[in-house]
Amino acid sequence: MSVSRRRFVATGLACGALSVAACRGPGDWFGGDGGSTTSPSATEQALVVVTLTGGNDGLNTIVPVGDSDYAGLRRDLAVPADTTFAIGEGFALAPQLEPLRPMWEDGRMAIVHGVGTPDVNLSHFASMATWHTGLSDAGDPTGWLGRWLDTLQDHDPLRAISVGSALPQMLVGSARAGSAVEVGGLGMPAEDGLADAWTDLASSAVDGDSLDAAMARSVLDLGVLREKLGEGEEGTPGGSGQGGESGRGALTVATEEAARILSGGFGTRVVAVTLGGFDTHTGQETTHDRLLGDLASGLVAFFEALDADAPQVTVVVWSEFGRRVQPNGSGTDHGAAGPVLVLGPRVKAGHHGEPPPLSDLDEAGNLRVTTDFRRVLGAVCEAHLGVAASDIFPDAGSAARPLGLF
Amino acid sequence: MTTAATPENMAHLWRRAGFGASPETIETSTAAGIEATVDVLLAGSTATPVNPPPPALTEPTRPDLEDASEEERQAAVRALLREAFEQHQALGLWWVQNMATTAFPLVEKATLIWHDHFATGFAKVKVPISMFDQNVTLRTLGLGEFTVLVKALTRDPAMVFWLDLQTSTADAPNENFARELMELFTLGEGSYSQEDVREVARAFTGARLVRRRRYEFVDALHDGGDKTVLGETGNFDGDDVVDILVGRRDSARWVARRWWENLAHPNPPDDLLDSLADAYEAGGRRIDQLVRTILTHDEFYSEEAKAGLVKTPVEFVAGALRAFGIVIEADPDTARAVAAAFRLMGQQPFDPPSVGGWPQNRYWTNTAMTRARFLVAGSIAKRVPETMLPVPGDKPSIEGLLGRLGLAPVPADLAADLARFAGSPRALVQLALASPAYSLN
Repeated sequence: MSVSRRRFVATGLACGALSVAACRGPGDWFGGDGGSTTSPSATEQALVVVTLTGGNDGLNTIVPVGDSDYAGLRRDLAVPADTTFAIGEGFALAPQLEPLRPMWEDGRMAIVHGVGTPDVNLSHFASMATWHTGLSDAGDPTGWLGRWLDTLQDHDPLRAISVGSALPQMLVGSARAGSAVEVGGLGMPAEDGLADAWTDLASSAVDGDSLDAAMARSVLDLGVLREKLGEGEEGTPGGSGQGGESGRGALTVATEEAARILSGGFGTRVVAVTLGGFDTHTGQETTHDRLLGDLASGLVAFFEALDADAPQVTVVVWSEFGRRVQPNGSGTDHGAAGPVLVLGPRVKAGHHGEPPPLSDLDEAGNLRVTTDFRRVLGAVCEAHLGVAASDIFPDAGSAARPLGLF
Repeated sequence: MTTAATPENMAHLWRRAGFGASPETIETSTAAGIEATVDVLLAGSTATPVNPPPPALTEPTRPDLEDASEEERQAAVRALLREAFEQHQALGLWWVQNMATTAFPLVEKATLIWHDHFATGFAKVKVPISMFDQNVTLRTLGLGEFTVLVKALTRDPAMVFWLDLQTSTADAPNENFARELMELFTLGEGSYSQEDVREVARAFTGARLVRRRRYEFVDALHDGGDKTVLGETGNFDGDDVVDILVGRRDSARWVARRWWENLAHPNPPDDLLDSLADAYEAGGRRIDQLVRTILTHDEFYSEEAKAGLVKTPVEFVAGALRAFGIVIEADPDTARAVAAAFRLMGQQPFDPPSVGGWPQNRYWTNTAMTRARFLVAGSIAKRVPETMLPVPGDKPSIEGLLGRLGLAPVPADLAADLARFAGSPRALVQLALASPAYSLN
């Protein structure tokens, strides 16, 4: 697999046409002036969170081919069993997930069934907010990973990074926040000394809770990111970064960036990426097939691009809810429970959680939630971030008891 | 109201109800007072003609591809999408030019707030002329009776396609429009049940779009049975439902909240919301009455309100163009730069990220967004007319520049940092625009 030419590091130019593996080693990439030379230790753990926005149709992702009600209830939208790849327990991977088959067969993939929020809310925004904060109290806007950042001794803008222009709420704490890094690089062409003067003027405005102080802190964080990650070849505004010219999917562009960051030895522990478009109220088949294909190739590309010396990474794939079991025509309305995918060398492969049966739907016709989402996120916190689930989800009690995923 | 018409308060008013004002306008309106200035701002609700749309906007065409090969077919589709995208961009520039030049900026601001509220996007709709038609509806009806506006949008082709209403039939009702109508447009989350969503979806069945451009109601596809919505039962159609929803107290509070949060600050206290909702209801559920109540409220001039909002990218760009008299239409290079600015800063007019619109405040202050602000500040600084630039080293003209940007009085630290670039006027403009102080609206 070839790696795109543009990207962060000026010293990485020499590796441009080669694969990541061929120019592995943080020293090779970042050994120039100012670059970090700290190699990650073998025991270091990292987490990649893949958010599928809009409400992914879990039934057509991890297909319950063994449930006798599936084909009848799904009608035209039922995925034919003979096109799928059986993974036991009456389930099969949708055909577009075929690229993940080696990971399943190698025991590097787990599926958690019936995951959702305890109070089902079919609003995208309410359900997203619950997943991002992991709190019952809607008044506290801090994210679950933001609260982890708050527990750490020092602030490091490289520790938690969102690939893209938006910073998801899950990465925002009360005192700290993760960084957002655009795929196009971090270049900032300007008159000599101007970027430094900008940092100087921000440094006198960082204190307090005000909005301009929040921006001032971002200005300082950006200075650190630029110093560590470099500016990339395309230091121009709006550097392409869409992956269009290479035909790569949007998620692949983002996950390759994630792999590059995690391979760089910057001490990054969390990377968040997003794939949108799952709100398939109409014309679901075409859209969902395409998105699942993007998902599968993005995940495969990530693990291929990850450096051998990189920390051990677990990838968690989630969506704010599933979709209605019975179609509304050519699409499906908002649902409740859905599967969460967990991938990586550390995960206890196979099936976790209780699959909600199609014969016992809730009053709206949706799959019932059998696994509180915080049991998944809590397991990840304990295994990968070294923090107790009860510290991250303080008001959940036993509802956030971590699943045995690792 | 006890708030005095100080220059600082008037600058705040013009920023929030518009996109900033010149020092001369601030001086005039300080003399006129808050209420008289709000009258002037609201006069635009009836006085402003709709500017002609960009000439590029065309009806969508369907090329004859009967005998075409698959390759030709794909090439034709790509060409159509490219053309639509160019029209979409031209439309965004047309709108921001309106914001930067209009004498009645409140009309543009209200339209922008409604665009965020009834967020509809080119990404799915793909027909710029329909997006323009929706913009006309928002600007024409946006300051009048809320019910009239909502009913118009239930028939708006861009909205209908955006939320799949044209696929919703008695046999297979689609909940997408019904849910967002209640959750985002009229009531707010938590003020209805899933059962209500289902019933409202039934009431709106029967909508059709002819060639994506014309709304049609087909009775044979409509569910003519009784529906129960928020406890009321009857053979409701869409308009009946809008009357029920907009008549609720929850709706008055929701509309009041949305406008307060866009004009003043997030999370208004309950008693404030109630007083705004009272005024809105007493004024016949008209938006101009609500806006007047907000803009003449003492709390609107509080420190919390003044520090309560970050400039969105559209406000940032429109405000800077306005402050410096930069005209997009005059120069293709400027047009490209403004289009690039929206892309880079993550807010493309006519293309919100979802039906929820754009998030506020801290969404715009992360590291990527902050970098974008610095770059766009540089791009704008390059295009400031010579006559608007301060004279190098001349303190009063530097202060004049900052005053034009609403950065007066200048915080001492900021002044010291800016002074380092006193000899380089464009660098100074970039630094001022990229400063955290200027990021506040």
